[in-house]
Amino acid sequence: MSQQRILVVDDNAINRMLLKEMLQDDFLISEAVDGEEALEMIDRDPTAFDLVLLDIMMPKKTGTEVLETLAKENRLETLPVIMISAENSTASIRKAYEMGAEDYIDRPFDPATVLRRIHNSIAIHTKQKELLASLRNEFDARQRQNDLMVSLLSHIVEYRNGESGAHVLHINIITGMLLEALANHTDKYAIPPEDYPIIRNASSFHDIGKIGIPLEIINKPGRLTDEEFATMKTHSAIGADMLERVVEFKDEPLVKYSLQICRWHHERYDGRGYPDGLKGDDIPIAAQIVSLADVYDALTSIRCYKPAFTHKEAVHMIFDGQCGTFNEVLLQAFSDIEDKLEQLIGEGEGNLMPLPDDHSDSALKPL
Amino acid sequence: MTLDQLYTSLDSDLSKVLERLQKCTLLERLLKMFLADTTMENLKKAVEAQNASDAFLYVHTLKGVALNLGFSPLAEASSALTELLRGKQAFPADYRAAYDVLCKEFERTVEAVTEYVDGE
Repeated sequence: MSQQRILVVDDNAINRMLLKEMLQDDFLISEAVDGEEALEMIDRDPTAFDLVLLDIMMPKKTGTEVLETLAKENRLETLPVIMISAENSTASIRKAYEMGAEDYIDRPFDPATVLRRIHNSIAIHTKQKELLASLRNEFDARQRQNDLMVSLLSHIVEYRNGESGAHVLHINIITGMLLEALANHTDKYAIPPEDYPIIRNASSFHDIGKIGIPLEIINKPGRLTDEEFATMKTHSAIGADMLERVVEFKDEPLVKYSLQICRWHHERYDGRGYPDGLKGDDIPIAAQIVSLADVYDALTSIRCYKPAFTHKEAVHMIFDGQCGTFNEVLLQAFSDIEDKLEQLIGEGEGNLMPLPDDHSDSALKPL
Repeated sequence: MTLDQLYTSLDSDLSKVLERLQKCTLLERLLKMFLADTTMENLKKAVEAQNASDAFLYVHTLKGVALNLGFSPLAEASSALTELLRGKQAFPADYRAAYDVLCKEFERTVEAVTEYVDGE
């Protein structure tokens, strides 16, 4: 294990020197001359220190104030603080403990005792830190594995659909932005924040049904015939059917959200979408969100049937109702994230292709 | 002057200090730092400016330093003034006597330590 680092906070040079002399054989030492500097150093790199030795009476910020700040920022769980002071009133000792100090040592102190107490404190906290870290690692590894599978699958589908992987990624990101922005506007939908990453992952599956559509239709440049268009529109129901067959995981939130998104990401708020013509909030909110994200990203990307529009053009077309009707409050959330969207897609990609002579309404809508 | 003589002249117990610090060299370095320490200066300025809370802070620090170095009378004198100033917004009427005792004790300590350090 690497050598542990102790932050010695004391305004008096003699006191700091004394502590440093006592500790430097066992530990790495950093010094702060007052409470303000100590907090700055901890702020700069919260993981740099394994323990803080804190004097109480100091100018600028007292040790008590430092302890208070650290407690408020929830740092004391991972960073033990030992108070050191010539203060020997019971009240101040009790107060320090109540505020979350690990230990209290009064001057003049015996180096051997101080060393032992520091070693004990660090040992307890190191154990705790290791346990936490191993739990977190395990969780992260699983999450990564999960994200990886979703990403692989969706890239396979995108490849078949002749779309870039960026589309899946963009929809994932935009879905996340919309979820957060929407929560600022209404608590009507009350989507638990822990579901956000699940919905983002589920958004990657919105077009999986397209693997059931013939390639000639998917890759056809220009307008589709009515018949071809009707075939293309079946992709949302096909995607949902595919997911419904995953019976063993049907209660998993990822499967539930994916199903909603696959089936209903082409529904419109006024009931004029497909496949079921659902109206208003009969359309699950996850599907509404992905639907808007899909429209925006499709508009700002080049497709074989259309050029890429600029951010401003795309926003105008959406608010103008050219891509169908959306939920008013969702559009408010969309307004909030406009600047972030513009950054995401990056300007300059727009209008790379001349507009085709005939771009009727249907050609503007993502399929 | 030896360390022993220095501590005896200041009515303090060298053996107790060495029990804690274990090394004479460390104590010698701390004594040199003590001569450069500005806490007493700061305390004097705070008293002149009649800033009771600053004065409390500095006399409290001085108490800690004295305890660390094992200068018992200096520690007692600072402790007495510390308690007089504790929680006070203004100087209490009786602080002057305690302050004068502290100043005298500090002067005596500095003189003795200077003599020791110079004679080394």
